[in-house]
Amino acid sequence: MSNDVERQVEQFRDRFKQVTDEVSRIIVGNDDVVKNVMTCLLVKGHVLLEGIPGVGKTKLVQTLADVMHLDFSRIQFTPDLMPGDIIGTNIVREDAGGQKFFEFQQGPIFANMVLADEINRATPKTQSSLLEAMQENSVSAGGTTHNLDQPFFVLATQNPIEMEGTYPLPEAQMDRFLFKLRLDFPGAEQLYSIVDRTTQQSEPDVNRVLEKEQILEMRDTARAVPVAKPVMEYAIAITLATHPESEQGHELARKYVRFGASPRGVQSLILGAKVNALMSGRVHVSCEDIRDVTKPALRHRVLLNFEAEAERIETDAILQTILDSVEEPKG
Amino acid sequence: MKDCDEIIRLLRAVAGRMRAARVLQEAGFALCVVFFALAVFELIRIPLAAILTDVHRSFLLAGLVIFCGAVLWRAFRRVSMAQAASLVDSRLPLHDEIKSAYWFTSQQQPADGDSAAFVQTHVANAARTAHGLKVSSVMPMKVPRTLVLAVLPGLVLMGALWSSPDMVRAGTAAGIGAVQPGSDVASARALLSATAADGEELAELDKALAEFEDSEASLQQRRDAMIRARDAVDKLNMQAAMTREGLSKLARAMRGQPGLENVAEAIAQGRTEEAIAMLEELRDELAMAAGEDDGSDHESVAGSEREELPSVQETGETSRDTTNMPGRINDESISRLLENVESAQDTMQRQQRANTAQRRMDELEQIVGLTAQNSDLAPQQFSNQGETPMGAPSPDTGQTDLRSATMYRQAEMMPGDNEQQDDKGSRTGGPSGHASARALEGRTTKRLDAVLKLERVKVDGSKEAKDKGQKEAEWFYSASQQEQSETGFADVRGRDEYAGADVMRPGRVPIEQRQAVRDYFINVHEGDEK
Repeated sequence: MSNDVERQVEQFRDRFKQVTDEVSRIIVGNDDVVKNVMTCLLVKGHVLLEGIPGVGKTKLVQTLADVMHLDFSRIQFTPDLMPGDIIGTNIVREDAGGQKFFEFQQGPIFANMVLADEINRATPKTQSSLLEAMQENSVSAGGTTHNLDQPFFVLATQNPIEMEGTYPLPEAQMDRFLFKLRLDFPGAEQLYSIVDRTTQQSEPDVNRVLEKEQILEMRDTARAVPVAKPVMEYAIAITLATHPESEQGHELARKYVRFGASPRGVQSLILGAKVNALMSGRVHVSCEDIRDVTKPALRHRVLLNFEAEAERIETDAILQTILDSVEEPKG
Repeated sequence: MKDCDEIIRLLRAVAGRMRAARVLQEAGFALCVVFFALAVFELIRIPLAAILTDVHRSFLLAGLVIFCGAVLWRAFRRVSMAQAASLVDSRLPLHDEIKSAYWFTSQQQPADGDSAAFVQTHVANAARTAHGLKVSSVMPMKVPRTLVLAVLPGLVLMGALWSSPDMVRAGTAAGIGAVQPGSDVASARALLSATAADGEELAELDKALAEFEDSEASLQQRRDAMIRARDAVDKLNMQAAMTREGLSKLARAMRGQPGLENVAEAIAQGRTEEAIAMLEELRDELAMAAGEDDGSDHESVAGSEREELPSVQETGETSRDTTNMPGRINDESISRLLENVESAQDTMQRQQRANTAQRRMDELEQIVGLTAQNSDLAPQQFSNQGETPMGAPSPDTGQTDLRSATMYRQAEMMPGDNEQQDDKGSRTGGPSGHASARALEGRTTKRLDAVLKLERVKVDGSKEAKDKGQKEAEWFYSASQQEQSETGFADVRGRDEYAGADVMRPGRVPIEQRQAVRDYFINVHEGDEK
């Protein structure tokens, strides 16, 4: 039994590493982002990617889809995009006998990996159709529910600039994303590598290293990792520290936070920490794993107040302060 | 199950060591506090010896015992396994392996499924880790920093206890009493070393000092004893002043006596021992000559000289007490003179002893804080009055400094006071003859501590004297400008003090009778003018 578990863990690590190695052939730098995107995929989560144009958001998703041999579709969100454009619609068809009938025409959401590019440019109605699918893993059209194929993974991108005429995601919908990741502008060396790889006659190709079934296996393995109560208490303490109205709320949260992280935040912490533990070759989750995923898991769940906006306080800074101050349970 | 035991065994050992380390740490902290508190108490006790007694120390000790008990009770609290597991995980970077595994072992584990397999694997891994760990490497036993820090206040306490017993003992309620015979602290009574032959005043002073140094005596009793002792010393000072005055008058009377000029000079200059030696020599010579000379001749010579010697009325009561001068020089008269000079020397020696004892008493008073409201005069000022060496101010002795309480006594024999009535030496005041008497010593009486200087002033002779051909200027000693100003100020101040002086205490002169007493002391010295 013990050997079986260790074999699973080892296999998990190897596959994970294969994927990240393969992706890194195309995507320069941002190893943490790749790792976290993979983490979300392996715990049935979705990712909100934020970054300025041209840093490789779309490329990252495309590469991941290629590496994992998944169906990939891309939806460019625009203000006139309708829900039907995403989930599909019933169209009238005529059979050989001239009999007409409705047939559901699947939209681009019916894919294993969906890139919702610039999600904040679509109307809330359209956004919510996608977000509903993310939550339910199914779509309803014409009174019929259509289940989405697993693994289903949405990677939405958001451009932090050019916010005019956009529809920022409501807090409740932001909460649907497991992680919010930031793609930073690459450094000089990384830029050199990017230019070197993309301006030649042929770009490097990636190999398919993972199949759907293997991804589902990895999902099962990740969920099986046990979490001891003290570690869970630590995750809860961090989450509660972001709540300004909580007794355990941090002083900084009381001053700058409007709403703290939701229960989904704790779930995200634990799930992300499980993958992190497996990545480290451990069969148990530690507080360190919780710390590693705190920022991507909570940064979009902690809503700052006007004072914080005025003083240009960033959520990451508040979370870092909370991480520094919350002590690990000592029994 | 075996894995669980392995983990628990490690955690128990670590918990035990954690507990021991915590006890040592807290004990060190408690020692720091205890040593520091005791050291501060001992140091504060030196200046506040009269306030801080053994009762306060007992309270402090009781408080410290309670504090130590609370600290140790806290230190001996049980260390939980989870705490030990957290420590192991933090000391060795185990990523919460032991803590997590211990939690799973203490909980009901999932019966089956992937999670159960993961938990078992996790616990087995943790047991392997625990097996390979040495408790000493996880929790090494070492002397806690607080215990090392406790050495510092401990040294301060030892230093305070070692270096301050004299001061502390002298300052505490039992401290004065601790000035026991044989102890290192000089006793005022021992310095006095009164004997039965020393007279009533010294006996009174000895008694007062005995009570003052009594360990059982209360603060009030000590204060009363101190007042009585001061009274006795004042009496002795008064006697000594009178004796010096008498000696001075005697010296003046003896100057005209042939054969006694040197003796008179020695007495006038305060060299009493030398005078005694010369008198003894003279007595021996007279005794030898007595066998050779004719008795009748000697008697006639003595009879003729008797008229030149000062009479009892001329020398005054004081000089009569001192000299009891016979009319002629013979064996008997020299013996009596010798006896009187020796008696005067004894009186002055007694005064010196009394003042030495009083100085020590004043030091002890300062330690116990008794001097605060009793007198504005510093202890040195009390004692200095007795140190005036044969304090008769005269051009012969060269002594012109006068101090405080004896001033009005010494001013009486200022040269020139007989010649000029206006400048006659005051019987009551300063040497200038214009100072009024100071109020008698009371508890609130301020004493004058002016060091007065006389200066030699040339005065032209009167008209009658010029007519008689006495062209030479006459010289007399007058108060310097500084002395006049200070004396005048003291006079003004003295009047207020006189009115406010509290003399209603037992043994003191009632305020309505003070003028009478003052007049008595003034008039008792007027004999030589009549």
